[in-house]
Amino acid sequence: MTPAGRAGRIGLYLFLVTTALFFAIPLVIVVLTALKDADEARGASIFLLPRSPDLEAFSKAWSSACIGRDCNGIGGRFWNSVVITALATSISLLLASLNGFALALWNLRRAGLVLGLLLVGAFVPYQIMIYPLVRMFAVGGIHQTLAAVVIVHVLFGLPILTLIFRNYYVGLPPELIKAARVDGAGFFQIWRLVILPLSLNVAIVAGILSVTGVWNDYLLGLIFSGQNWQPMTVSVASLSATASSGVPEQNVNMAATLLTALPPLLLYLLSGKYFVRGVTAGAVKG
Amino acid sequence: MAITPQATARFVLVPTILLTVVGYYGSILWTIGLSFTPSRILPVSRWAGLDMYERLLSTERWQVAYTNLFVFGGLYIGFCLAAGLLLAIALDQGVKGRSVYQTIFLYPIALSFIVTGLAWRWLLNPTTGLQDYVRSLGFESFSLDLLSSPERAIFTLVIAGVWHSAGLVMVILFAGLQSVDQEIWRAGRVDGIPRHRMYRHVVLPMLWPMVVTCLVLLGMNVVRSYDLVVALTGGGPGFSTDVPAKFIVDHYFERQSVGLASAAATLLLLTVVVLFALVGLLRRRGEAA
Amino acid sequence: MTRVRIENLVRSYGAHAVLKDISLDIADGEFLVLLGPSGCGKSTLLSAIAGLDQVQAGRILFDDRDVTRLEPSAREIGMVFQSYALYPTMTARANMAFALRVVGASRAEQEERVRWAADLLQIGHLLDRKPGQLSGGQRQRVAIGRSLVRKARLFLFDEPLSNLDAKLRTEMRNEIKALHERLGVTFVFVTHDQIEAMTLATRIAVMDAGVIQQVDTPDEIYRRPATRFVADFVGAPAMSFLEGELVAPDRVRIGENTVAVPDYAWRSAPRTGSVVFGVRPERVSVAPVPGTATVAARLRGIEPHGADTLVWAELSGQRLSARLTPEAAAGLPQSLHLDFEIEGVSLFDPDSGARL
Ligand SMILES: Nc1ncnc2c1ncn2[C@@H]1O[C@H](COP(=O)(O)OP(=O)(O)OP(=O)(O)O)[C@@H](O)[C@H]1O
Ligand SMILES: [Mg+2]
Repeated sequence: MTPAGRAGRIGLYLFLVTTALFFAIPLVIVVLTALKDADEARGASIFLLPRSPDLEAFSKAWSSACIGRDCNGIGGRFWNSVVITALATSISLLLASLNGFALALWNLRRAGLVLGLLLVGAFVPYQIMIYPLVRMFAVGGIHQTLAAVVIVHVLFGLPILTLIFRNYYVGLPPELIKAARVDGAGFFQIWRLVILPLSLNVAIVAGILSVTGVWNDYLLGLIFSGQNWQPMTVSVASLSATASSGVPEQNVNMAATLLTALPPLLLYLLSGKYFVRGVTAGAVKG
Repeated sequence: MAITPQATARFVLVPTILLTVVGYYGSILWTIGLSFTPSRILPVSRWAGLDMYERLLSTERWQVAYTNLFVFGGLYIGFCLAAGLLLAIALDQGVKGRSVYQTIFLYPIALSFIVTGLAWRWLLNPTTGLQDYVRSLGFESFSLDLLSSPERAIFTLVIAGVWHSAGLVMVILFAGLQSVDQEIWRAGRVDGIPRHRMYRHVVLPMLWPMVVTCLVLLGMNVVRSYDLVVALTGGGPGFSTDVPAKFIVDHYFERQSVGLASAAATLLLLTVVVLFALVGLLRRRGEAA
Repeated sequence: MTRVRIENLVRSYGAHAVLKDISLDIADGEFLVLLGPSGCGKSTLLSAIAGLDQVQAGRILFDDRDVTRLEPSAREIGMVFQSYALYPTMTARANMAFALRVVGASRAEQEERVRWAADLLQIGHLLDRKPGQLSGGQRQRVAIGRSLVRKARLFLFDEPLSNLDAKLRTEMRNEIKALHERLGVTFVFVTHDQIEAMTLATRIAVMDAGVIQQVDTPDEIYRRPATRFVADFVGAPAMSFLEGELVAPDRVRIGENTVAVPDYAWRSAPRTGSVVFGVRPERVSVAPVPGTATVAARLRGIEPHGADTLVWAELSGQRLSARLTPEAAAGLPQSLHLDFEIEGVSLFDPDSGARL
């Protein structure tokens, strides 16, 4: 290697390592702080290692930190998030797969129009739709219930998920459907017996997109879930607000933040390629 | 006569169509309608013409929020694209440990904007955060008190936003770089074209569709930028870091000005429509090129 | 056992008419081959017979029963596709049993029918494999097996052999023919390969641009093509066409030459005027010396094909070919004397393309 080439190589690695530090530091700081005790977190630089690391802050965040007047920690909210995410994801995947199948393989007239109608909705900011939705739910008597928050997640998740399934199904040979029809199978039989077994990969991609989207949502949870079904992201945001008013317990805040971040982070680390395909799928136009 | 599978297929779409027509289009029209009424805590149906729009445009907080949309949006998208492109090209040089770097650059995308905001607020806090650390290294006068400065707090949003999303751009563009035919590189070498010129004149133009994809994804984040602002600055100091998304939610649910919030939402929608038309043009230009 | 009757079928996509008023009768137990160039509407017609595609006008009758609006599954048909369309996640056995499974047939019945079809096609040892673990020919057999399991009274094949290599194709061709003889039911078989059509069909329907040009036995199609299109499409090397003029009921003038057509089987009373003179290359020979029936031509090129040799010649500025033995083609002089056998000659109306 020439000297110039060597210098270039060194510069390249220097750049990569510095950038990697920039990306890693916030997470490292959050973890370090969460392992400290309250005084240490308040008094000493965030870059110092904890003197006696323990998980005290995590257990406090989980079971006794105060969110507003409710001092039962965010553990309960964690389960709220789990329920909302599980329900919203399974319902949207089911609908999206059926929709995608119907739109892709049945030569329906105006299938393009339906897809277009759906996709326009995906690119419109939520802010222009939330107030009327609140009023509709109020009229229907389900405002700030589990049902309401799940319905809005399904509503706003459907376009992209439908597009993902539809784009995958369009690539399947149409003869598959023809053969199954000659064999006497109906729409739902073909879907269940022929299409679903082929959908595993695309369902994983769509599922990851949906799980991270719903879990990480703040706005919809804030407005539509109400006190009983408040998801974790909403609680953790107001948790910090409370703690800073009294004696700030940044270690607990950061522990709660980390707990909120953990499920999608684990999903990311475990699912690798699928995750990337999921988060980028949103931009693939049909 | 038996129901044909096509009829079933059509029938299967009905719930979704209803959901969309009512949920999206009904809501949009309703909101646009409300923007012409003087509704405050509850919707009223009295016609107020463009009153709400006039009030909105003369509201200083809206002016700041709307300007911030472009300041934040421009910087966030610009830095994300630049950083993402640089990282993608760096990783394309056959570096060792590529997947480790990739994992580190991309993990923030898995986090919510709330988590991002909280982490960065902690990192940027003036007493024990980054500023304190740099000062302890001997730079006594170093000041990074971005969060409490009305002029500069907006940059914290940009930093945290870029930290969150640059990895996404990197991964999309890197995939694009990897899909460039090796023959093209060989042809460039045969012709004696330096690598950086190959990138600039040959490879980057091929990445254009992916850049547009990134633009769309990042643009959506900008328009929806509510969570990050709430978690990082709360819109402050004052309302210096307010954005339309937050302005709208606050006026709907805290300040009880439904009419005004609806007018703001309608303007935001209009803005998005115009921006999408622009992206459409860019896409077409990419195809023509 | 099914007679199929197609009446005035019309199908178009927007302004593009794909099937233009198609009528066709298929006899019970027949092996009908739909032959035509790519894009002429063969698959569309087959789909219409299967009920996979709705038609805009016309009727389809199976044994005098109108099935035009019936679902494919209600038509009691078996169908084999070019891409095989095996369900990729199911084993060969599950693929074959699928039709019985969806109607809720008992396990025993499914097993019995699958066994029967597997024995017929000799694929018993492949039943537990998935399509991905089968070779092209094996997949083809499983696909045929799948269509056999249901008790179909009509079998439809859409270019089932075109994805196979040449040797396998010949083999499967023979098997399909044997299958037809054994089952004795009606087969409709789509192809654009004329060898397949010639060897398999009891009758061939030649299609072009959404219109059926001729329905006849392979022999008739070859010897007495009803239109210039059929004459051109069927036969390799292709028939030569020369513009000429009928000067007398038994004489065609081509440029300065005159060809005698004394025993030509006219469809209607001959009328003088311009005609297209078509001749099969294998019915053209080279005479050593000019005779009363020969015409003078110039040698233009020689293409050896192994078994025979194609000789290109020019006759009054128009090209034609002759298929000769390599010996006969060796050492030909520049000026030739060509002899046409009347069995290889077809005359067409230059405007309508119809046989005269
Ligand atoms: N869904 C469709 N929309 C529009 N045009 C179509 C559609 N399906 C088929 N066509 C057109 O109909 C014509 C006939 O198609 P068809 O598939 O029947 O041809 P084919 O004779 O089977 O050809 P090949 O030998 O290539 O299979 C073609 O010109 C095709 O472009
Ligand atoms: Mg076809």
